[in-house]
Amino acid sequence: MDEQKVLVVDDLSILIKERFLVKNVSFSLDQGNVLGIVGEDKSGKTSLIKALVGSMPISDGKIYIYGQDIQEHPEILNDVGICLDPPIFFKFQSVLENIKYLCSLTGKYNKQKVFDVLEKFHLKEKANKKVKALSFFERKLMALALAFINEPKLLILDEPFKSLPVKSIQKIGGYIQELREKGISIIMTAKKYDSLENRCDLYMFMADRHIVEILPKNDCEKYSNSRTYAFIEVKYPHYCGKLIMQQFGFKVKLMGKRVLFEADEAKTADIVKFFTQNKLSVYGAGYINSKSERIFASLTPYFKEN
Amino acid sequence: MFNPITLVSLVVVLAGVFLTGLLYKIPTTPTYSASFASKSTKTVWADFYSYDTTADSKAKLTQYLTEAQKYLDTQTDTDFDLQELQQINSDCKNRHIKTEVEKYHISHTSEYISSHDISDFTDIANRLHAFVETYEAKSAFESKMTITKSQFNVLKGISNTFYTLANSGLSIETILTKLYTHINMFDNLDNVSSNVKDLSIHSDILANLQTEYITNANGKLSLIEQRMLVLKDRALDSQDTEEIEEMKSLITNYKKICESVKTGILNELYTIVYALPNHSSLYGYEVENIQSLKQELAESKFYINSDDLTYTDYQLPVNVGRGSSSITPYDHAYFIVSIVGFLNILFGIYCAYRLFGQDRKNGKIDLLLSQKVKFNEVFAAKFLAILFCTGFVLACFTVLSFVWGSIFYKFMPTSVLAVFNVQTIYKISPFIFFLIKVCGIELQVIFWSIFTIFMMNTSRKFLLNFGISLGVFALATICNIFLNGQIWYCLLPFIHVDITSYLGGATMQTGFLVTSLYAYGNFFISLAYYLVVVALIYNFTKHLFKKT
Repeated sequence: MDEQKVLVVDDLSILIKERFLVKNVSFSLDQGNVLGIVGEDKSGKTSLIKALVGSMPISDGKIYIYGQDIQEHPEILNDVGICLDPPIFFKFQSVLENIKYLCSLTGKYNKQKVFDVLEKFHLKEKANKKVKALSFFERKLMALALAFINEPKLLILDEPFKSLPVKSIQKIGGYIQELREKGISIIMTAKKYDSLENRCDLYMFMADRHIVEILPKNDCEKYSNSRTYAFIEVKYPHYCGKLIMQQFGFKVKLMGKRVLFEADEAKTADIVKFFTQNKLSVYGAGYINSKSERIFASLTPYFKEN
Repeated sequence: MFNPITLVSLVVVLAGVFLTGLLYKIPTTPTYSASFASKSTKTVWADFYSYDTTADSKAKLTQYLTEAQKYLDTQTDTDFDLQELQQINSDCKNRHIKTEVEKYHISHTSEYISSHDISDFTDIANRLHAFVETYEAKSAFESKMTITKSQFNVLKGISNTFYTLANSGLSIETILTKLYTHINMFDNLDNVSSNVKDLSIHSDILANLQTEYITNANGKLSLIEQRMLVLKDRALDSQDTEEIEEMKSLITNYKKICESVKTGILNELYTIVYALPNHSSLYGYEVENIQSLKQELAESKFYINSDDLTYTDYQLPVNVGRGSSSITPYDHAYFIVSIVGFLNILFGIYCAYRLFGQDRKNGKIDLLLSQKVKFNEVFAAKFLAILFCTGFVLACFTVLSFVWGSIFYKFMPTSVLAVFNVQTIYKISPFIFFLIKVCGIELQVIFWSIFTIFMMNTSRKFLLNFGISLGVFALATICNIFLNGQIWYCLLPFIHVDITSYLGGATMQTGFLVTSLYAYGNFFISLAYYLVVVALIYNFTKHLFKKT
C-alpha cells in the first residue's frame, strides 16, 4: 500500500441491521491535502467518518492509514483526530477540565501547550467556565483547539461550519488553514458545497450511502457554474418523471423526491398545472440555485424509463 | 459472538448447580411413608390402624404422646432418684464407714478387719455406682432430680473411687488405707446428697401443659380419625384419588401433631429450666439455643391448635418466640434494608439508563470512543460507576437503617413486617446474615444494571428501552411472589428480589440450594453461576453496541 497516501479507503461497506449505511466507497487522500465530503442528510457522511476513526464496525472493505490496515493496527488511529458535530463535551466540567481529561486519554496533555492554544482561540479567559455556559461557536472552537493540541496527522471535521454566522465561519476557516499549513491532512464534511468552496483540494459528493463523484476543485467550479435546472417535488418521483417525459418531452433527472428538468418559467408552470389538474400532489417547485445542488444535478444521470 | 469458553463454563456451572440442588433439596413436607401408588383409601386406612411400626401407623405415632406423657408424669410423681441418692448417703452414715476408716488409720484396728467383712462398704459402692450409671443414661426430664455439673462430677468421682476399691480384690487393710486418702469423699457425698434438689415444677403448670398439649392434641387427633373414616366409607376402590390425597394430608398432619406434642412439652420444660437462675450449671439440661427452642414451640402450638385437619406448612410469623426484649438491632435494620434494597435496584436501573442511554444519545460515548478509548474501557468504567454509586448509597442506608429501623419498626403492622421477612431463621450469626443480605442486594443491582445496559443497546429508543427494563423488573418482582419454591425457577437467581432465599434456606425451606448458609460450596457455585450469566449478557451487549 502506498504510504504517501495518508488515507486509502478500499470498497468500504457498512451494513447494520440489514441496511447499508455506506456502500462500496473507495477513495484516497494524499499527504497534506484537504478532502471535502458533501452530501445531504442520510447520505452516509457521518457513518463514513466514524468508520475512519474506528467507532463504526466495517462489514466489508478496508481502510488504510499510512499504509496500515486500521483493523489490524488499531494503534494507528492515535494519529487520527475527529471533531464531531455537534461538539460534545462534559458540560458540567470547565473548558480546562474537559481538555485536560480528553488530552490525557490520548496521552498528549501538555499544560503549557494547552494554555497557548486556548489563548490563540481566545478561550483562555473562559478556561474555568463550565462548558454549558459556552456558546455553540465557542464549543466548536474548543473542539478545534483540542485538534490543535493533539496535532493528529489526519484530522476529520464533521460539519465544522454548520449553523455558524459568516464571521465565525471565517475564523474557523482561518484555523483550519493553519492546520493545513502544518501539514495535517484534513477531511471535512458539509451538507452544501458552498460551505466548503475553495477550502478543499478534492471534493467527494455522496448520496444514498454511496459516492456520486469525486472531483478536484477546478471541476467543481465548472459544475457549479453549469446550467440551472427547474424542479418539482412530488411523492412519486419515478412516476411523475415518466409523465413529464411522455407529456412534455423533457429529459428528467431524479434527485430524491425531486424531478429535475431544463425548462423556463412558463413551461415549469404548465407542468405544475398539469399535475394539479390530474390530482397529483406537488409539494414544491422552483429552480436549483445553490452550487451544491447544481453540482449534484450535473452529476446525476438522466432518468431512463426502464 | 459468544466466547466459547464462557458458554462452556456456563453450561458446566448450570449443570453443577442444578445437580447440587437435586441432591440436597430439603423435603419441606413431613411425608407419609407409605406408598400410594396402588393403594386405595381403605388400604391406607387399614395400614394406619395396623401395628406396623415401620410405617407411620397410629401405633407408631402415638408413641410420641406416650413419651410426652411420661415427661409430665415424671415431674408429677415422687422423685425416686433423689430418694435413692439420699438413702445411699444415709446408709453410708448409719454404717459408720467413715468412722471405721479413721479408726483403722489411727489404731490399725477395725470391725471390718476383725469380721473379715467389708460388705457394708462394698454395698454402698455398688449402689452408688449403679445410681450414677443409671442417672447418666437418662435424658432430660426422665428424672425429677436436678444436680449441678460440678456436683455430678464430684458424685461420679466418689462413685468411681469407691467402686474401684470395692471390686479391686485388695485386702481389707489396703482398702481401708486407700480409703483414708479419700476420706473427704464421705463428706462430699453427704454434701451433694443434702444439696441436690428436684425441679419442683408447680402442679398447675404441669396440669396446663397436660391440657394444652396432650388433651388438645387428643381431641384433634380423634377428629382426624373421624374424617379418615368418612373418607374410607365414601371412596370407591379404584377412583379415590382425591380422597387418597386428603388422607395423606390427614395422616401427615396426625404425625406432625404427635411429634409436636412431644417436642412442645419437652421445650416447655426446657423453657422452665432456662428460667431458673442456675440453669447453665445444671447437668443434662443445657439449652443450646433458646431462640430456636422458642421457634419450635411456636411451631408445635401451631399444629396442635390449628383448626385445619389437613396438613399445612407452618409459616413463621414475625417475631415468633421473641418478646420485645429479644428484638435485635439487626431486625430493625433488616426491615429498612429490604426496602432500600428494592429502591437501590431501581436506582441502578436509572443510572444505567443515564450512563448508557442518555450519554449515547448526547454523543458522549462517541466522544470517548473518538478519543481512542476502547469500548471495553468505556463499558467497564460506566458500569463500575453504577456499582460504586449504588454501593455507596446502599452502604449509607445500611448504616442509617439501624437508626431508622428502631424508629419505624414499632409502628409497622405485623403483616408488613412479615412481607419483609423480618423474622428470619438464621443459623449463623445475625451480623453475617445481615452482611449477606446487603451483598445480595448489590448482586441484584449488578444484574439489573447489566440488563438495562443490554436493553439500551438493542435500539436507539432509549426511553422506551428504559421503560421495558423497568417493566421486566416489575414482572420479575411479581413472579418472585408466585413462583418462589418451584425448582426450575431457581435457575433464575436474579429474579429473586431477596437473593438470600435463593442462596440457601435461611428464610425458605424450599431453597434450591439447601445450605442454611453453612455449605459454602453451594454458595460459591451459585455465585459463579450468577456471574457467568452476567458475563454472558455483557458479552452480548458489547456485540450489540456496534450494531445500533
